[in-house]
Amino acid sequence: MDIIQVVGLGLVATFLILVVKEQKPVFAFLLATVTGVIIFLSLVGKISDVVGVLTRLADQAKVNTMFLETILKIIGIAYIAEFGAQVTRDAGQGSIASKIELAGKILIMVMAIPIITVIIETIVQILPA
Amino acid sequence: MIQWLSEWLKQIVLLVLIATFMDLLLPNNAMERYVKLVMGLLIVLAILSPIFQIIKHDFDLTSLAFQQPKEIRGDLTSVETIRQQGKELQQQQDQWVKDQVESQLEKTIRQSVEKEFDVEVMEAQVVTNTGEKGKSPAIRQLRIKIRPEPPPKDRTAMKPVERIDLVRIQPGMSEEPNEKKKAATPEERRWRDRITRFLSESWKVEPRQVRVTVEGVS
Amino acid sequence: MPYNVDAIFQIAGIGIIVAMLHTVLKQMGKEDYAHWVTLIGFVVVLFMVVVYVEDLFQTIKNVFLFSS
Repeated sequence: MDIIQVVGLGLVATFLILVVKEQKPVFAFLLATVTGVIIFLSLVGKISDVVGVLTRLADQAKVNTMFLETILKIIGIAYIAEFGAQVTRDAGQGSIASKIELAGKILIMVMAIPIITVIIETIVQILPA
Repeated sequence: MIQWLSEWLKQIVLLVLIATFMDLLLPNNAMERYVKLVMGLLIVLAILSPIFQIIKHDFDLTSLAFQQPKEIRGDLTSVETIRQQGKELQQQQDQWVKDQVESQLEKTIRQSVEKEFDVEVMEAQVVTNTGEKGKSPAIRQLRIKIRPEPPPKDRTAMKPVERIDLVRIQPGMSEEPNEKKKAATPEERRWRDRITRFLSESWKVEPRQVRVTVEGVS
Repeated sequence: MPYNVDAIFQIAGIGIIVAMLHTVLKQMGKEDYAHWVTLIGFVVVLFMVVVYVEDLFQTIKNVFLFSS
């Protein structure tokens, strides 16, 4: 039934935003931000459950924790960047939104660089010089 | 050999599974491709890990992996330290909660006893045990020291009875203090019983966990 | 389960009230007051929003970045 609550919340917020927007667009924008935050926060518990289960599985199978940590960090970066980008885009600042996305992408790539380094080093070592 | 193989396979399978899950969790936007790339690299790394073990003088994945993020995100303490700190904090928190609960309980008990009976609470002490995690603390022992309300009130309450007694035992004047002392004991006991019952009823504790000391029945 | 829905109504209410005040003050010819009212309302709402966003970031950090 959570979905009904979320949708209801979204609808109510939308109507309120429509009402406020004519008078004060700034408030409408803040309202939209808060709505987004609240919806996410109400769902984050479930995501955290899923992550917990995956973590436990990985622990049981003795997966190197570095893999899981990296993946989780990537997801976290993606979520935060996404949120910021959407908020700024809603406010009509498309350019800032794309900068935020760029930052997210770069940070994700930076996390990948050590992995790439390791792989390439290994391959170089395997191949006879 | 077989065991080692199964370990390796398990790792890969789980990693792929987790990567898929995370893929589903991802917000849908341009970031998806990048995330997929990184996850693919991670899986490649997992697949290659036996080769590392063969050719590599033990290199440490974690140290390699976290050089970069450290620079970016300032101080990224290791998970171990964080866990330890968390544990310490938890303990501190527990202790604090316990103290808080005890002092709060003491205050409440003091007030309720003083309200219920005509006594002055000299000292109230509550010992709680926190029990298992997540359980609310339970009262283990309840110690209370009381003194029946200061003379004026007490005396007015007692006077009629005493006076009658005095009239009856007129001849032995010297016995009076003695008698009073004797009377004090049932008095004390009465107070003790009443307060114990009251406390054990209102706080849902065993009567034997309550210890009442009555002081100086005047 | 909805986290704290009141905040939405609070913000919307503040927005509407501020808009009303703005209009009324403007009608009375007190333009500068009207602007101050708007600014203060905005700051108040912004503060609330900031608290929520901080909560969000903290939660994401807890769930994704530091749990392993």
